Amino acid sequence: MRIATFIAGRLAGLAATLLVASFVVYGALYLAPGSPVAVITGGRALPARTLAAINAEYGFDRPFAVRYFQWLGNFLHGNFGQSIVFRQNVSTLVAARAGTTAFLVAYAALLIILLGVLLGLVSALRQGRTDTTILGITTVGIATPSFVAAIVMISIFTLGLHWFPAIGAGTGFTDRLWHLTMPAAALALAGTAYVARLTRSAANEELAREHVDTARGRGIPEPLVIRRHVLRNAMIPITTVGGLTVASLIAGSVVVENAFAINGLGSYLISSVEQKDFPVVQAISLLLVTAFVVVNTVVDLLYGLIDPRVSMTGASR
Amino acid sequence: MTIPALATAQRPLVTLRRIGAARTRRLGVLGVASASLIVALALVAVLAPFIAPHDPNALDLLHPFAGPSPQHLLGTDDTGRDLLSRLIVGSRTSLLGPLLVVALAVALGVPLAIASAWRRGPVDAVLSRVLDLLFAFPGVLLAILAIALFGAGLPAAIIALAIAHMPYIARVTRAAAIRERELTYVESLQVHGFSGLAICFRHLLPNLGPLIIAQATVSFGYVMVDLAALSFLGLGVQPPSADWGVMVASGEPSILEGHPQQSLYAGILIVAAVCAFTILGERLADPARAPSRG
Repeated sequence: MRIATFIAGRLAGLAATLLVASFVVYGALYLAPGSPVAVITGGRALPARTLAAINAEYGFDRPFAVRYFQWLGNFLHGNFGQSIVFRQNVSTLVAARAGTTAFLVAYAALLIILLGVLLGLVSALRQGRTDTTILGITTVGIATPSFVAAIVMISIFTLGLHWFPAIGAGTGFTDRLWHLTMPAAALALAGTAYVARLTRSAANEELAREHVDTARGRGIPEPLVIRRHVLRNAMIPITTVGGLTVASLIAGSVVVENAFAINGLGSYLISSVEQKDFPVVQAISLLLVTAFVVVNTVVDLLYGLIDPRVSMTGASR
Repeated sequence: MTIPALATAQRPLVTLRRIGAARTRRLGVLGVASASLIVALALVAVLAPFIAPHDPNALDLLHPFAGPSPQHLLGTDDTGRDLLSRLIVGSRTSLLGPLLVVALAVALGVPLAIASAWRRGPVDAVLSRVLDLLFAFPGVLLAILAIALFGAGLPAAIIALAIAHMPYIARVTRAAAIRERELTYVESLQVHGFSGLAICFRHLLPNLGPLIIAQATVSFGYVMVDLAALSFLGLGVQPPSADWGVMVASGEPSILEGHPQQSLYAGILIVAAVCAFTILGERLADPARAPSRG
């Protein structure tokens, strides 16, 4: 019962956040200089028939609230409107690119979780030079923007060693894996360093606890102590912060896709901004914010479920 | 409402040298090195027009991709512009942009946070909800949306990023202000009849100062990454203006031709500056928990 109310509370919060986010993305039309129609058409001179169609679709003759809820209803049904540049359904254009972005983000998330936890654990267990080295690397890693990592990797692995291609997303699973390795690594770098830092301090904290000493005193083999007593307890903060780091990859993919000329949602978002294709900008912004908020909520729920000490009263942070 | 003049309390005399020694102990070698790098970069940015050896936009199409020489210490880019001069002049927008964002975020976030910590109740509840909602917008996305509406360039990016980073400053300040408000000196001042505004301005704010500065320093690093990313995407500072993010982007096509210098130099400067701000910010925030080595 408590769990049900907890989940219901978080889901209500999710719905409220998404409602506000959609309102911001839609209301932005009215913040811009010029009429909303001019924003949507990007100031282009369009045939009267197209303008009439846009007016009808957005319902500019009706009150604001009606327009907003109509737009939101369409959005929820997967109808994101028409691209001004391509004269096609935005949903078709977006769907064709979403897979690449999802692949990239998932790949980077995997790298962050595996490498981050591994590096952090090694750093905590090997005091001295190894620890200092990893600490130094992660300090620089956290401060390295993905696009700087991208140009460094292209300089080394494409220009110097010819290992990986510098542009494109590839076709088929293995080709795609090969093409997206550098982009995923560039996207994952700062997050990996951050998760490694966090794992290190969480593991150090557990290592200093009495239950670890007791376990060792009972003669439990060291690997088992690390796995059952150190890592299992350290996983609680790692899940939360790691989850939030993974969520931030969704916005970060925009930059990486442009650095590696990958035809995903992010590079489409930027080219739509440049071409003033506002319906596409709205659709992708709202999709990315939705993905970000949903991942955050899932992390929040997981945190509540794996750590029984977290109060499940539904009170937010 | 006027702030009543407070009785001039006897303040302990602290000499500058003593502060200096205490800071060095607190910050550690790395912290001091970071602070020095930040001061050096700031000096370069201020003095840029005087110390840049060449006009950063002067083309020399006969000598593209020149190697290091006494005339061009770091060589030239694809259109023969002097890289060192462009890096020096580029420090201006690269540092001024984040400074404006952080200043704006502090100016917005701190008063809101202190007001909400002081009043508690409904004001606080509403503000906390608003902050939670703002956290749902990744800063770069908000900035891209703003740029889509108002056009590429720094102004839209700066305002959008300030709004996106304000919650971080506000949350830290609010939590600290709530702790501070519970201290007995606040009660004592209230008993003495000082107004809430006076207590907040003359006592709470100065006591929260170091924490706000630490958080602002950390934020500066993150904002610098975000702004450089926007310039890299072609949405922030516009070429041919020299800016580190712009330079990384305009050097990218030449990398595969074997000339990664422009992108690399600008990238290294961004990483070094962001490193300095994050390290200094962490040390300022919590010197005890910063790693002891180095």
